[in-house]
Amino acid sequence: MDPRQALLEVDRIDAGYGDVQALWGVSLDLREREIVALLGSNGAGKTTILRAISGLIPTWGGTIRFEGQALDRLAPSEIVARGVVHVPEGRHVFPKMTVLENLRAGAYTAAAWRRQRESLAEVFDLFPRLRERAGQYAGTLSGGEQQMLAIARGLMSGPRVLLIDEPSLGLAPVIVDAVYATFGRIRELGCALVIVEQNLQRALAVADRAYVVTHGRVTMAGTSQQVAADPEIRQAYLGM
Amino acid sequence: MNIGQLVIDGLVAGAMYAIMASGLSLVWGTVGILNFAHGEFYMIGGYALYFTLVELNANPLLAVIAAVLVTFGIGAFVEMGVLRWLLNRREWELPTLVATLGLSVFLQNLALRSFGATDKSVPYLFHSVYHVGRVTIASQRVAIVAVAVIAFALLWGAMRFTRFGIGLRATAQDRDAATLMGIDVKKIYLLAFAISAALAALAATMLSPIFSINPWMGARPLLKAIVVVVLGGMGSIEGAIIGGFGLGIIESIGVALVSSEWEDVIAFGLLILTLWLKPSGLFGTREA
Repeated sequence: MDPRQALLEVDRIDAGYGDVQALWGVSLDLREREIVALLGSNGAGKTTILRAISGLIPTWGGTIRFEGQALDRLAPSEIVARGVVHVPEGRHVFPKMTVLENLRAGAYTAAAWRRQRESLAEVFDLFPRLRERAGQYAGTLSGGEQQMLAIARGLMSGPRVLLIDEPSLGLAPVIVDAVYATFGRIRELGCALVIVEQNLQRALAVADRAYVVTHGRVTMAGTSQQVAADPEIRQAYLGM
Repeated sequence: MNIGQLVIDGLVAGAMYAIMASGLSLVWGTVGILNFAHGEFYMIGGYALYFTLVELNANPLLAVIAAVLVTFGIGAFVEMGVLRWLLNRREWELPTLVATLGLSVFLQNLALRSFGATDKSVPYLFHSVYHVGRVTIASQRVAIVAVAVIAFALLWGAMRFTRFGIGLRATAQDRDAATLMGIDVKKIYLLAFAISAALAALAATMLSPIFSINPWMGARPLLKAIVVVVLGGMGSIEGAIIGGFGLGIIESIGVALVSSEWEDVIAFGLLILTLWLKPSGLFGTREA
């Protein structure tokens, strides 16, 4: 594959819920081992973009390609099997399953199920806390541990792209540090990341590039430095 | 009063309640449908046993396995043919509920037209009778409890350690998150429905020698299973098992204290009491 070619390419997609359109011609791309931030205020459509990529909602127009092949029209289970996994906002761990069972659920696709032993070693290495809590019900974990479990569970299928929705939501700053500290290591494992955030400073500190989403449209794109330096962004989101 | 005998009798009835209720609870917890046609899977299992055992003169073990497998297949067929289309709609809760009610009446009348209204009976699969102190147990009844315990052990193991079991529990707890894990929720629904039907058939194969086989044989087991599912907690299989044995023993002792006509009064009194005092049941998270 041409290294300059995008790993994941979202090309002018429209999408929505029922009759209400939420995305208008959204385009973005993600290259190998890249971390890209999707920024914007609540309700801007960031989560909808992730839901369209992971196949939870159908796209109305445009295309989504992964490794050059169309992803839209595929069932969510096939999208996961191809290597694109979505870690939902609010963690959504399985509360009455143990940490280990949650991780095994993450390795549900046939290929992932066969190599779950290696994947488990990998995620336990990344999140040693989860190893300690392996036998505990996920519902009894702290918010930070649940976030780590949600990310680890997403990694269990060995994805090439991980879409993480609001990883800092409702967590204490020191816990957010710990969660964000793993993103660089996930990238080293060969997985590119799309991080949806309302917390701009956090996301820009770790991302290579960023897209700003406003009212369902991409209104700005650039390197993290460019976006952070933009006067409008500084005014609107950083309060400077 | 011979308490030992009453508890043993209660365990036998409870084993059937538990098997029926665990299947009903499995579908409720996973798919979100209260399947009013669950009793008809029990009926289909009874007829399947009758035809393989009596008409085809098959080996009893083979007949039981055949009855369970046939009903598993019919359960899968019903899910694909009837419920799947309704589940895809935005408003699916009432249509699926009504569809299972319709299915129940349809299957009862289909059985009536095909097999007639006369009771059919199958012989006991086991014949000996044990005496332990003052307690008398027919080996058929020992087999009922043993089969129930084995079935629950297998179900428990499958739910915890197999890929589909983990996928099924994940789907029951958070359908959207399960979808994001690559779990094909439609396949899980299909499997849950088919396993549920197979469990009902298993109960029927064990009980048909004691009760007779007719188109309406599933109605009472269904009602008792509903009581057990509410008692144990909607969607909880552990609750269905403990609630099933519990109801069996309570009924057995209650009937000895008053008379057997009071059996349903006791069961449904317990249902109403549960709804008053602990609507989520013993182990449930969802309110009934």
